[in-house]
Amino acid sequence: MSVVKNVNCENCSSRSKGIFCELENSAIKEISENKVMNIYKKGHTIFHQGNPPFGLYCVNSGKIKISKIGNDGKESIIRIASEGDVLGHRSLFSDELYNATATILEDTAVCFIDRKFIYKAIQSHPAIAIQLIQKLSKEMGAAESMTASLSQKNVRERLAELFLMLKQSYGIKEQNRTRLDIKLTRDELAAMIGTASETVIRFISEFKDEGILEQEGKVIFIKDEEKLIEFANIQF
Amino acid sequence: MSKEIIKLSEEEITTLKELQPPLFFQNDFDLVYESQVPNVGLVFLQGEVKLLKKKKVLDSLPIGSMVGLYHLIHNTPLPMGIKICRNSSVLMLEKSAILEALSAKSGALYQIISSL
Repeated sequence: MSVVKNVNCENCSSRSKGIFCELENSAIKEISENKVMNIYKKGHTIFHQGNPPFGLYCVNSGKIKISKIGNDGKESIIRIASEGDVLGHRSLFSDELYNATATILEDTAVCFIDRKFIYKAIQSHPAIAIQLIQKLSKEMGAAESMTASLSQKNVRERLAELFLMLKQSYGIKEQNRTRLDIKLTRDELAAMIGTASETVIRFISEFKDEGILEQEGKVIFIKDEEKLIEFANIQF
Repeated sequence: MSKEIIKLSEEEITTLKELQPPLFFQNDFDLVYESQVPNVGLVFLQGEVKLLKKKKVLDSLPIGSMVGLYHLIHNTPLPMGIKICRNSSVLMLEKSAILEALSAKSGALYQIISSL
């Protein structure tokens, strides 16, 4: 494994998206001195459901799956975190055990800030708290939408909605189609919308037949967004 | 190994417990993967902590040992992985507390660090 190349928070590529975006350089420097940065490989775990939190994780680059294992042993993917996102904050500030597991989907650079320091930083710089509240609010909104979607929509609509969400977060426009810059297995797609992987496979085939999606190897392209919106039964 | 693993006295552990409450892990947890900088220093209290090299178990950490502090302070990769096994208790020594102690050159944590 390669030696970690430490990136200062001042030069962090995800600084503008993160919770420290409002801070001046002197405050950022202090955070930089107290954080620990590491590269995690695909399959590595950052934290595990049921274990105690002891700090906060800031995603510098890469993608992380946040999932929950139910009593039946089935995995539900709550969300995908990427650059600029914060992880572990809910459990840290509510002083509860982690209610989900964070697993690396692709090589990811993550910075860790310990509990003592993040509390001190928030007290000194309330702008961090505002950013955290904004992130929590967005996450809560997404969780509410997911709950509504699971109870009100059928699987076909949920899958179409998921592709729209993935397009919004990871879509890269390429000529007359959009490439999804995230590789998820059929099992993972199924775990994100609460269905079986066989069902996902069936509907992806249907979407391809309808000219909505294209696939090259493991990469998925969205070809017809309007039709996808129609299939998702939502109004943007 | 001397830089990586340090045996603490009962007295030192008691002092550290007063500074930082122990954490109980009910599930396995890879605290550090091989060649990563530790996020915290670890003091092993109860259960089992495995030291890994190339995904194979190298050794078990003796109870009352501290690991990762040197590499945390110097921001250098640890040449092994640390796995906290389920139903284990540990103390996490935070970087900010260590830097604060080193800067102030006083306090119980500083006394322990400086004696290493």
